[in-house]
Amino acid sequence: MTGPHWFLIACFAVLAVGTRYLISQAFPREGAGGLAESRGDVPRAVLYSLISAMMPWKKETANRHIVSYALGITLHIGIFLSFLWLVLIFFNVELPQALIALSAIVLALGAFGGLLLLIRRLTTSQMRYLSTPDDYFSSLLTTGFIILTLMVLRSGGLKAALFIYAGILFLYIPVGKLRHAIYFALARVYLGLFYGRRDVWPADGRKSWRTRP
Amino acid sequence: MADKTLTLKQSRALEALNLRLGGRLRTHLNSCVHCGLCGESCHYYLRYGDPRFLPGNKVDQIARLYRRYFTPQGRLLPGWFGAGDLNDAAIEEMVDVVFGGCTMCGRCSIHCSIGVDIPFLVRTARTMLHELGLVPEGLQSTVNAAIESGNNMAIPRDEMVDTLQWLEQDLRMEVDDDSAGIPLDATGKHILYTLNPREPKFFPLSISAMAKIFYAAKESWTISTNCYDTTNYAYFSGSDASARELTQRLTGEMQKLKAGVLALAECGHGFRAIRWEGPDWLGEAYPFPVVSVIELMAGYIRSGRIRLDPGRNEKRVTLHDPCNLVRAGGVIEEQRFVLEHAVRNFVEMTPNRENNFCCGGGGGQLSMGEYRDRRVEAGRIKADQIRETGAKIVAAPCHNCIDQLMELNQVYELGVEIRTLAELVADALVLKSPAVEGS
Repeated sequence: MTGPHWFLIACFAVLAVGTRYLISQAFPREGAGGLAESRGDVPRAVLYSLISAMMPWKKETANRHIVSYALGITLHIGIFLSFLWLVLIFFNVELPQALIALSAIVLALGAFGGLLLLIRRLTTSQMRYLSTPDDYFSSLLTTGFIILTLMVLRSGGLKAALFIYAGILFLYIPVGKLRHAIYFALARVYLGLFYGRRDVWPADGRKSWRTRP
Repeated sequence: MADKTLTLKQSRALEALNLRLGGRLRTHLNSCVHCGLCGESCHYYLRYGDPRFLPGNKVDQIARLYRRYFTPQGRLLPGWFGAGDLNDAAIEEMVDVVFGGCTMCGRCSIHCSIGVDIPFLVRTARTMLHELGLVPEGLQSTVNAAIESGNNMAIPRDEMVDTLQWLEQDLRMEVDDDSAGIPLDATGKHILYTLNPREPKFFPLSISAMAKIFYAAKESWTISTNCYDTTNYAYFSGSDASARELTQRLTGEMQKLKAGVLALAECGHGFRAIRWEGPDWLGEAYPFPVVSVIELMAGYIRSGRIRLDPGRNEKRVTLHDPCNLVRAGGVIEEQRFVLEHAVRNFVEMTPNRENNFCCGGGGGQLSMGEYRDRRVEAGRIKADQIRETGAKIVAAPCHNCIDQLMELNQVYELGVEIRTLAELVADALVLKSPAVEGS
């Protein structure tokens, strides 16, 4: 274990503690959906909120902005794949060249998506209006993470740089815009609770109407 | 959070936010990623293209304060993290955006990339502005009228009783039955029926229509002449204390009259406020069911308690989905079922149900005259939707929506009639048995 290894472990520990703290403050407690008598199928609605409601044909924000949506998806796939490769590289796991080559293509697409979204943020007036330095930095940080992972896969070197970079990314997640990684699922659960109790979701099988005598 | 630059009211506003910082609020305050894709979900942004009306910016009206006063990173590096002081400029923008540029319709939340509950955040921002004493005058006076007089139009009780007695006489003549009636303040009835005060004041025929339906269904019902207001504008003004007071009055009246079910008139926000938010204001679930009259009408049709002849409503009818009744209330299929039985030619608007566009009259907009032009401009989307259906009648199960739709009808020359569901059902009612009809 080298210094960068220990740095990464320490940063991951900070991320874990920070994440646990933030989740403990935000986790739905009993009665989180409200005290009014429910009329819907809440578990199905929460599931709907997490899966079906996210589909592009259900979401105007996706189907009216299909290019941005696709770029966002490739960026996020790239980020998740980078984290997976970080673990594999950290533990020196050897994988077939074909898999490395395939990963490199996906990472390149992810980095491309991240860069185009950053350009969109910089060049669209409504995006500039909304954006803070944190938004730009977060985009750069994640896109840079994908690019660095790609470089490590291609060259076999730069592992220490990747560990230090990833460590900084871990430290930034709980404080910056990237904390949506922690809150995203909770937001979907809360929205599922809200619409589920009221029987608005799941939109394709509302309980109160379906089961009425 | 202590900040010597804050005034007492500003400190109270931040304390109101602090008190509400539970898991749900924290989650939604921390989730927006500023993706900017939400604009086209908002009728204000669609009409004006002004980034101030981006739902993401509505989130920021309160999220920037949360970051500044409740997170360490926002205190240390406010410029970097988009944290902002609660100063005069921020407050001025906040009032304009959360009162003047949002109807809390929730369409943006359904389509949000993440799932941020934006109307929940806007409502919390309004609560902070209420603490600052900055609720627009018209909206605040509507709440005050309800608190002080018992109904939001300050109708004196004698006037209300006169109106209902006159409507009762009309009902008796119409159905040719002296036993037909509008029972006032009767105890032990199955249903306590509440009204939107706009009905006795401006639209008494919608009360007649519902009375006729209750008569046909042989329902056991009553109206309280002391406490009958379905509306709860404190939901819009952000005052939880007033919202609680208005809810308590209704629950108290239910107990006093020993009624079994609280039935709410066709009023979108009233349904949402009483059915869904009320128990949270009171801190306990109701000991009785609360239903919309739309659910009642659907039940009467399904069980055969009333019979309808859709041939009596030949004109093409479309349906407006009130946001608080549909997207935030869950009454979605019932009105369609009712219309399928009550009219011959029913056509949906596009989009509809939980994806509907707000008419522009929600969020208390009708009581805030200073935003009138904006409200009508934002309503153009609804006007275009109506025109595309080719309908001659718009069924609107919400009196606030009806007021807005009537104005849109005039401004955009739609040439349609705006009617409640009950009015259409009452017109289609078959009161006599088939044998009598045939004779």
